[in-house]
Formats: sequence, structure tokens, C-alpha cells
Amino acid sequence: MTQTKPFLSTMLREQSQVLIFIFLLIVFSAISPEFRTVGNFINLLKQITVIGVISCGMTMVIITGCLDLSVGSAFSLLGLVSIIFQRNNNVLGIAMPVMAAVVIGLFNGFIVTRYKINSIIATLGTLSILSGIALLITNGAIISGRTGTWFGIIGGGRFLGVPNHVYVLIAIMAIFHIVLSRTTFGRKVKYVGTNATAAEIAGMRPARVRTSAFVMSSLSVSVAVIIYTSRMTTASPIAGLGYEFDAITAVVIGGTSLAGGKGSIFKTIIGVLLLATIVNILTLFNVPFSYQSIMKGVLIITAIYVDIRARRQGEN
Amino acid sequence: VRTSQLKSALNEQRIFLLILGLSVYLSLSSRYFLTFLNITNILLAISFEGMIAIGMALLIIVGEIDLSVGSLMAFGAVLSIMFQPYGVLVGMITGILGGVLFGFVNGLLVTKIRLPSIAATLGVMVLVKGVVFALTREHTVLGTNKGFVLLSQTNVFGIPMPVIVFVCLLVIFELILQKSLLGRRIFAVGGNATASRFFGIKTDRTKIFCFVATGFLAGLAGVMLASKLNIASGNIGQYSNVLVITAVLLGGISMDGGEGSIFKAFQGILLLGIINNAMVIMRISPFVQEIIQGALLIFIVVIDSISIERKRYK
Repeated sequence: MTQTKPFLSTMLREQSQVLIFIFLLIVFSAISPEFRTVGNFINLLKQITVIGVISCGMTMVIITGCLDLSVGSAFSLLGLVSIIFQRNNNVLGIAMPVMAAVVIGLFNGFIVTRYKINSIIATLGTLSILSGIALLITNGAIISGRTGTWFGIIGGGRFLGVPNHVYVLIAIMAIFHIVLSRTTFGRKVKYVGTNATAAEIAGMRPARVRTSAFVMSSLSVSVAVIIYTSRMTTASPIAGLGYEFDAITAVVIGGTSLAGGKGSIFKTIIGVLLLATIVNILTLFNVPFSYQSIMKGVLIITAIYVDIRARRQGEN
Repeated sequence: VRTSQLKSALNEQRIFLLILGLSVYLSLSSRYFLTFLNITNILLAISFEGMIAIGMALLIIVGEIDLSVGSLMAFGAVLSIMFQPYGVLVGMITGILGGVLFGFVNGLLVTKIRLPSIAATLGVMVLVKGVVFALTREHTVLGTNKGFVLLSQTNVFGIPMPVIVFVCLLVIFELILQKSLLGRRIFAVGGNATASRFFGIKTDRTKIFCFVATGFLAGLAGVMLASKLNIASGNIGQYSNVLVITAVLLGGISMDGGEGSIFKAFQGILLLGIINNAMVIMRISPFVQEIIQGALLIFIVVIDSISIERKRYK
């Protein structure tokens, strides 16, 4: 019995986001009949797939102690790449964005690790470059691909009543979770994020680990892009505007520390769900988009504050 | 000895030389470049973000950064137009105060709550953008007062008002930075915050001053821009943070903190202005300008990091 109290309080502290999420689900279901419908929950899942997949990659980058601000404009550019190639060949429409994503990730990783540059500044540069290229390719216009092929099955099809892309999200989350928590690489990611110098002395190569994390981040963007282009069969050069903040907000709200070294895909899932649920209820109550942005800003600052306070208490 | 002195002098002034070389090339290749009208146009185009670059220079010297400047500029612009019914002056002051308010919030978050400035100002950037969109209901707001337009559209001896304000601010802030006690504190805190605290410098106050100054300048830039366009919307300043940070680093102010000058930041923004002007003259797409700006930012921080590393090994 003496064990219960500390266990309970640790659990409350560790999993506070889960409890907040459950609490919100109960409250929202109680106050809104529209919220508690099956259709709305499926809708909710639909809305989170793209950001959910991107957030998985972002989690990796954040745990290594970096940030990737280029995911939004990478999303826009890769979307165009996907649609341009999909016009001739569905397989290329999937393969080309994936390959382009590897190039983008390697570029980010190289700049950040080779020259020891603050990742925010470096990826801010990449953000501008990719967004400029995307706008240049189509001169700002929206382009569309071929419809009526099997390409649409990923974003449009259903299996057992659940949209196919939800399965993609679950698969990606499972893969990232296993990589992060069950492999040597995953452990290296955490060591490098905790103390890169110590990790290097211990024989790891922080530069390689971080570069891999950046590649994984843009790869997850390419998966999100395929879901998106498959659903829409169109691509806009500004499709991913602001996705970087949505992904970072989700990861940070989930409880992964911006300082690096700690975090999990499970936390990110909760963060994504938490954010989507709040946005969902605000939309149901017809709260304008602008207030959602205010709320996101407040949430980011609060989450960082909570994280920093927890770490300071840990130090004392 | 002389050649090495010459070399380091050349290296010190590399941005100035770059500006000079580019200007000579452009004057020879285009008859339009070296005209009074074009030169004032370049200065007018850089004056708004140039004001913000002054504040960003202070912040980078003191060892911090502000990603929210674009949102603050939009906030200032929108407030100055929305408060016009109460008078031009009220609109202007409200716009500037709006910038000052969130500059102060940034400063408090970074110093009192001790959040990293990149993360804190990222949050404030998203938040203020939401506030701006809420105020405007996601529309463009139009100016209603003819007097307000005069603020930016008046010319003195053919020089537009924003340019004059910009140059005055450059001089004032350069004097503060180089000649005042506050300026010396900024250098000291940026060079070594812990040591300066031991010497009795109130590091928090120094940093808050830099954040508030940046908020003030961003608000003012927003007011001047709104007056020039006679409209404002939440889309103002979308990429201002990238542009301003690029300019300051391009000017040769190191991310390491502790050194730099306002004049350097001016050189950086001037070079960006000339490059953009050249692209307009050569009819290159604005999208290419965005690409070049991003590439320049990366190029500059890479050069900066290489030179920091070299200094350490010396």
C-alpha cells in the first residue's frame, strides 16, 4: 500500500496528457451531441493522418535535439513532385516524392551537422528555398493529376469502414515506435539528444544519427504527401503552409521535450489527438480559425514552460 | 605584415566590397540602376524590414533571437488602421504600443520564465498571428483617414519619409550601442552573461530592453508600411523573420553574440535590397528571390560557423 501513492503521482505526472485527453473527450461528449457521433470520430481521424505522420518524423528530429522547420514547404514541393509524375505513372507518383524526400533530409542533416549550425536557422533557409521552388514550378498555380486510377485508393478507399490512410498512419506510428524504443538506433537517438559530446566519446556518431533523423522526418513528410495527393489528386504550392508549427505543437503538447533526449511516439500520438480534438470542438462551435491559431500559440508556450519547469525540478 | 593587414581589412569589409562591386556591375549593365529614383526605391523597399533589422541586431548581439517580428509588424499595421477612427496619432501610437507590448512579453518569457528565445518567440509568433487574424476577421482592412497616408507618402527633398525615419533610427541606435553604458552592457551580456552578472550588470533588464526595442521597431515598421499601402492584413510580414535574420547575419554579425554593429546590419539589408532590385531589373520571378534568400541564409551561417571555428583554433 505504501507503494501506491508515489506510483500514482508519478503516473499522473508522466501521463498527464493522457488524462487531459480523456477528460476532454468526456467533457466534449457531454456538452456536444455532434461531437459524440461515430461520423465525427472518423472525421477526426481523417483530419489527423497528415499531421500525425509528419509529427512522427518531427519527434525523431526533436529527440536528437534539433527542429525541422522545412516540413511544411517540403510537403508543398513533394506534393507537386508526386502529382507531376503521377500524370504519367502511378508508381512514379509514389516513388519520386520519396526519393526527393531523402535528398531534402540529407541536405538538412548535412548543413546542420557538418557546420554545427542551429537547426532552426538552417531549416528556415531550407523552408524558403523549397517554398520558392514549389511556387516557381507551377508559377503559383494548383495542378491536378489523373483521376480514376488505383492511385486514389490510399487516400480515398476504406477497409472495414475505416479510411485506408488511417491504417497508413497506424503503420507509420508502429514503425517509428519500434525504431525509437526497440532498436539500437533509437537508443542512439536519445543519447545524442541528451548529450552529443558524451555520445561521441562513447563511440557514437551524432552527425550520422542526426542526419538519419532529418531523413526520417522528410520521409514521413513524403508519406503524408502521398496520402494527401491520393485523396485530392491535386497539389498546391502552398499546401503545407504552417504544417511545421502544427507538427511541432503536437509533439511538444504530447510532452516530448524541445531540449532533446526524451520523448516517445506514444506521447506524440496523444499530442496529435489532443490538438485535433480541441480544434474539432472549436470547429463544431464555429470558432473562427484565427482563435485556433491564438490557442496554438498559447499551447506551445505553456507546453515548453511545463517541460522546462519539470526539468528544473529534476535538477534540484 | 602589411599584406596580412590588408587581407584582414578586406575581410572585415567584405560585405561593403560586395555591395560596391555589385553596384558598379549593375550601373554598367543597366542605365536605370544608378538613377536617383532607383536608389531611393531600393532604400524605401528596405526601410521597413531595415528598422526591424536594427532590433534583431541588438538581440543577436545580446545572444537572443526573435522569430515573431513578422507577426508584430502585421499587428502594428492592423492596429494603426483599426484605430484610425479615433485619429491618426492614436492609430500610430496604438500600433507602436502593440509591438512594444509583445516585445515585452517576449522579453519576460525569455528572462523571467527562462524559456529559450527561439521557442518562446515561435509561440508568440503563432499567437500574435492569430490575434491579427481575429482582429481583421481574416480580411484585409482598408485605411479610412487620408492624413494617415501622408505619414509614409510624404517626400522631403525627394526622399520618402520611411527612408528618413530609417536612417534616423540607424544613427540613434548605433549611438546607443557604441557610445552609451547600455550599449556596453549589451556587448558584455552577449559576450558572457554569467560573467556580466558577477560584475553587477542586470542581464535580464538588458535583454528585456533589446526585446522591447525590437517590438517597438517592428510595430513602427508595421505602422509605416500600413501608411504606405493604406491597407493591412494578417499576411503582412509572413517571411520577415527569415529576411531580417538573413540580413543581420549577412552583415557580419555572428550568432555567437557579443559583437557587431547597427551599421553591419544595415549593410546586410542593403545588400539584400540591391540583389532584389537587380532581380526586378532583370525581370527574374519573385519566387526565385525567395529561393535566393533561403540559399543566402544557409550560405551565410555556414561561412559564419567556419570563421567561428577558425577563431577557436587560433
